[in-house]
Amino acid sequence: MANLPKRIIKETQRLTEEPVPGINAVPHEDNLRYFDVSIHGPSQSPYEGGIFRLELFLPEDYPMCPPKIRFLTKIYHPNIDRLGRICLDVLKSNWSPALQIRTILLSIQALLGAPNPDDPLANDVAQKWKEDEKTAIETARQWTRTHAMS
Amino acid sequence: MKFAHEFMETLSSSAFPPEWASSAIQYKQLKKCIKRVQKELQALGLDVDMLKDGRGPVFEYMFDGTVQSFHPKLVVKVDESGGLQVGWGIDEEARRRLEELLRKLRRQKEMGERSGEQEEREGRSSMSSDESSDESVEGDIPHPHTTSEIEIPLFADVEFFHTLTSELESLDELQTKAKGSIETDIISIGDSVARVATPKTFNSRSDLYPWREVFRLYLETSIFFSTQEIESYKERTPEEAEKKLQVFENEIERLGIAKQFKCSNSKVLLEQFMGMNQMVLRVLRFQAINKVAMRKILKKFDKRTALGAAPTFPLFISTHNFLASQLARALCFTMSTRILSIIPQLDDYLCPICQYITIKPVRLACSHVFCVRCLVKLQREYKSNCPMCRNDVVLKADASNIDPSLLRFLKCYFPKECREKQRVNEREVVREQWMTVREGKEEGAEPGCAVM
Ligand SMILES: [Zn+2]
Ligand SMILES: [Zn+2]
Repeated sequence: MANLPKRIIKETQRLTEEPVPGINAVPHEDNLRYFDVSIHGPSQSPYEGGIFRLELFLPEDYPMCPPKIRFLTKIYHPNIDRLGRICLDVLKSNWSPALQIRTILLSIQALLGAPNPDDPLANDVAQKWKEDEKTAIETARQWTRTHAMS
Repeated sequence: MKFAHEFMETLSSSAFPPEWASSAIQYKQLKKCIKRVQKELQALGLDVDMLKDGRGPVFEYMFDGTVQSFHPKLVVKVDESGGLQVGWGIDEEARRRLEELLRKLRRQKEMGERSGEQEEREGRSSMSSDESSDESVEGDIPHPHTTSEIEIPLFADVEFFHTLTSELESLDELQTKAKGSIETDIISIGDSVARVATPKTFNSRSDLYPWREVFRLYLETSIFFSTQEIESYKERTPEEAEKKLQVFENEIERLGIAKQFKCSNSKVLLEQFMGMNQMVLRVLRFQAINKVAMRKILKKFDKRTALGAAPTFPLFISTHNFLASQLARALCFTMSTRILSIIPQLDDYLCPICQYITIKPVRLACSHVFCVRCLVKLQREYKSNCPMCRNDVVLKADASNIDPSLLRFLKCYFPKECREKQRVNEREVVREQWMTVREGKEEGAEPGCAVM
């Protein structure tokens, strides 16, 4: 691996020195572009009380292209598919090289607090969410209990 | 006694200038005052329990007037017939005593009025009972159904609160003086630092880099204020600030900054800068312990007299300069405009993409600045939106977007950082060329983002 760019070093430093409440991101010792991430489910959401693990990878061209990130913990959410891939505009077309790991993780945390079934990635979940929100939320809660609390 | 002792100790042991002690809250003298209030209350037959139980429904202790001119008064609320509120749970004996006192006060008042004496606190104690509404109280006839108040004359409490306020006055004066002298120091240090830290271009012996490091550390340590958003830029307590200042001094020592100075004057200036910060700390500490002393003495006042002034008095005088002043904020502001801003800090001139100094700086039509190398990378991938504001300006930029005055400024103030960025760019270019050669060989390998 080539020398770690200054920008990544700085971001990593800031993440550990001024951590975002409810978000934890630690780089692997042997690969400083690979982060173990955990996000606490926002309060008053069906994910409250859960701790969700994610993996984050900074590709060679970061920050020209966005970090690659996915959920490792199973989660019932209209914008997150079965493989943990996330549907979030800033991770795709709306990525800007001025955005940071920090801002992206905050956006994901916000997405947990405000699911958007009109822009789905997990079609079946989004369908359920639109048809019967109450049951969908209950399922999300159940999944949180089963997979994100241990 | 415990706090009084502690207070005296702190005043004498904290390296405060000797003349400050005379401006401090005179705790012992105020305590004596409290004793006199206690005696007065006893003489009137009002004991602590009775006052405590009756606070609100029967007794009220208030501050009349403005912060500049006020008098504290204790009043008893009576109904239209001049009697005490019914249903107030005190024992018969206490009630009798209080009624006796009220009768006495009424008699005194009537006598005073009959002999034509001016009432001292005119209009403040009005009586509603029929007996008093004879010839002399025209214009003071109360509404039939409102309860009214009879003032119980106390003297030592007036002394207590006036003493306390005049002490706040002198504390305020001291603070204003200290602030003025620190500000003078700040300006003189700032002017001198500006001289020794001019860039090498103008002065062959320049301490630009060591001084930048001093100020960078100073800002990073955030001694008097927290700079963390989560703590919302709160002012630190003097204890916290003291620790932070120590951290800062140790760090300066550890990095051997004084040894890096080339100008003989710099070392002296650094000492002055440290001394000035110590002075700010001393003023803040003096301010803080006096505020504690005020709180404690008011608490004691309440405990001994049960008049309930500890919560109300600070509110009443909350606009007093001494209590309302934002000394730390004002001084830190002066410091940042007159000293810290003399030397530009690297953080303010970083490219938001690569986090190196923005050399050469390209200013887009939206006025956001990036380094030319990052801009070229954006253009190569046909990214048209500004990374900061998403305006469609990236592809329109060309060599004419390089900001020449910013370029000159950066080269002048950050020569080392500019050279570093230059080296990084060169290495990157070499690597890119190498990659192109290799990709040419292994045909079909996708360039850019898709490689993971
Ligand atoms: Zn750049
Ligand atoms: Zn812009």
